[in-house]
Amino acid sequence: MNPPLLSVRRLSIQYSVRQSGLFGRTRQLQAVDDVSFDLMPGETLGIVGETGCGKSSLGKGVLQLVRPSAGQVLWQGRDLCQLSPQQLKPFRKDLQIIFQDPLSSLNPRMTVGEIVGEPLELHAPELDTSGRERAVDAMLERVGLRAEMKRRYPNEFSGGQCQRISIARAMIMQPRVIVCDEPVSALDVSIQAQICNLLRELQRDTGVALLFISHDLSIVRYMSHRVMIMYLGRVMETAPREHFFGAARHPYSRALISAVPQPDPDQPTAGPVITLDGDLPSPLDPPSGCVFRTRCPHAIPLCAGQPPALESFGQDHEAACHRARELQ
Amino acid sequence: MSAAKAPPLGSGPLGRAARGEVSQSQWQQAWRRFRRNRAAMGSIWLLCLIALLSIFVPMFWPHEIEDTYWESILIGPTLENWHWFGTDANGRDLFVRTWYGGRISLTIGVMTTAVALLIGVTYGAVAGFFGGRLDGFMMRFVDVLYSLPLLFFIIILVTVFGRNIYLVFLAIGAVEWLTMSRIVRGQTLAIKTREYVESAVAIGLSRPVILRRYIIPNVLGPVIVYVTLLIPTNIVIESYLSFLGLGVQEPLTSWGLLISQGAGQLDSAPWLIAFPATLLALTMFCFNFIGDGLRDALDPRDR
Repeated sequence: MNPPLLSVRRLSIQYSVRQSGLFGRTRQLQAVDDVSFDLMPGETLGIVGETGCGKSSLGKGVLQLVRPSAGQVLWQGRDLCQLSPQQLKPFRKDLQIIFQDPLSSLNPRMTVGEIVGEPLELHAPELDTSGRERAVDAMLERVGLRAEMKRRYPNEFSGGQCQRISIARAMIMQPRVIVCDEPVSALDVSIQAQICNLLRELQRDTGVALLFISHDLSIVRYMSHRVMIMYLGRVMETAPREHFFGAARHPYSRALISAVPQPDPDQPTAGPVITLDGDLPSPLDPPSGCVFRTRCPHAIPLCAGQPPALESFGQDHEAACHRARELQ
Repeated sequence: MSAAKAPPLGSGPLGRAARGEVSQSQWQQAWRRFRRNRAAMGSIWLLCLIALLSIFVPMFWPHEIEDTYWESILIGPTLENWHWFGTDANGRDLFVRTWYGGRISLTIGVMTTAVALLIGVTYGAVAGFFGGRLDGFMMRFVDVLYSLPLLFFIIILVTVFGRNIYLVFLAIGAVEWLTMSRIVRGQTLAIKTREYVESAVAIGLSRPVILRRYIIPNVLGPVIVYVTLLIPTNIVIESYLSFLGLGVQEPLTSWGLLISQGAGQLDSAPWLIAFPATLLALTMFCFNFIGDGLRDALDPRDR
C-alpha cells in the first residue's frame, strides 16, 4: 500500500473562551478531540458533521491556521505543528485552502489578477511579470473564467465566479493538498454542481488530494473516496464511500444517511428516517462517555461511563460505538 | 409607494454595464456615488475656492498683513483703498488678514490631521492585528494619554518649548491620533477574522505584508470619513488655543485669533468678527457635508 501523503495523528484543538463579565472564567473549548486520519495522494476525504462539530477547525488545524494544542500533522516526514511560521512558509505552497464564503475570502481591494498571482510572487520569485501574467491567464482559463477578467475586482463577480477565483488562487502553485472548507454550501444548487465538477476535473488532471469539509452528505457522496463523520470534535466513523453509504455502523451515521432525501420517488427509501431528538450539546460542556449518547436512540448505561474507542470493521472502516456489533 | 422608491434608471448593475463602465474598484464606485451627492460636491468646490483665495489673496493683495494705516483705523467694509473687509484697531487691512488667517487655519487643520492619521493608523493597525498582550499594552497606553487633558498637555509643551506654530501642529496631532488609533484598531479586529486574511496566511505571506496589503486598505473607509471630520475639529481646537493665547502669535494670524480679537469689539466693529467667523463656519459646513457624503458613498451595505 502506498504511503499516505498527509498523516494526522491524535490531533486536538482547544480554544480559550472567556465568559462574559469582568472576572469571567476562561474555559477550554475542545473543538477537535483526538482525531487521526491519513490522506492518500489524489484522494478526496469527505469530512461531515453538524455546524460546530469542529470540522472547520480540523481543516484549519491541518494547515496550522489554527495551532493545534496536541497531536501531529505529518507532512513529508516533518511535524507541521512543531514548525514556526517562518519554517512553515516553504510548505504553504503544497497545502492550500478554499473557504466557504466566496466574496469574503477575496481581498476586495485587489484585482483578480493580483489575487490569483500573489502566491507566485511569493513562491516563484524567478518568474518575471510577463511570466506571472501568463500563468495567471492560463489558471483563470483553467477554472472557467476569461483571462481579461483579471483586471476586475471581486465585487463584480457572482458567488460561483468568486469561488472559481479562490480555486485559481489555491491551485496556481500546484499544491498537493487542498482543504475545501464547505466550498459550495454558500452557492446556489446549480452552481454547486459546476464547482464540484471543476474540483473533480482538477483532481483528475493534477492528482491533488482534497480534504472536503461539508455538512451535505449528498455532495460528499459525489465528491469523496472516503468519508469521515465527526460529532462534537470526535471521529464517529470513517469508511470508504461505498461501505459508508451501504453499511454504516455508527447510529449517528445511520441517522445522517436516512435523512438524505431520496431523489427518485419510485425508488424505495433505504429505510425509515431516523430523527434525532434535541440539539447538539454545548462543546464547552460535552456529555461524559460517548459524546453522542444524549441523542442516540440506542444508548445504554455503558455509553455514559466510557467513551467508545474506534473499532475496525474491515478494510479502512472504523466506528466508535459500544453497540456497533450488536446493532448490525 | 413602490414606484416612488424605485432607483433611477441606469443606476443598477445592468445600467452600469449598458453604459460600458466595467472594472471598477470599490474606490471608483464610491467616487461615482459621491459625485451624485450635490451637497458634498458643492462643498468640495466651495472649499477649493476658500483654499485658493487663502493661498493667492495674500500674494497679490495691495496690502500686507503687517501694514498699518494710521489714517484708517477701524473703518468698516468699503471698496475704497481695497479695504473690502474694513480695518482693525491697528489700521491693518482685514481682507488680507482674513485670508492669511485661513491659510494658517487650513494648514493647521490638514497638518495636524496628517500627523494624527499617520500615527493613529499605524498604531491602531499594529495593536489590532498582533493582538494579545501587545494590544493590551498599547491600548492601555492610549487610555493613559486619553486621561490627560488636551489643554494641560499643550500648556506643558508651550512652557517647555516656547511658542511656535509647529508646536501647535505637534500638540494637536499628538492628542488627536488617540481616537484614530481606536477606530483603526476596532476595524482591524473586525477585518482580521475575514477569510481573505486567513487565505493570506495560508499562502505564507508575512505579517507586515498582510498588514500593509490586506488590513490597512480595508480599514481606510471609516478612516477617511473620520479624517474629514477631524480637520474641522482641529481647526476649531487651534481657534480656541489662539483665543486663549496659546496658539498662533501676532503678527501672524488665524481665524481663531481674528475671532478672539473681533469678539472684544463686537459692539463697535462687528465686521472684525463677522468675516472670519463666517468663513470658519462655511469651512466647517463644507467638511461636514463632505464627511457625510463620503460616509454614504463608502457604506459597504450599499454595495
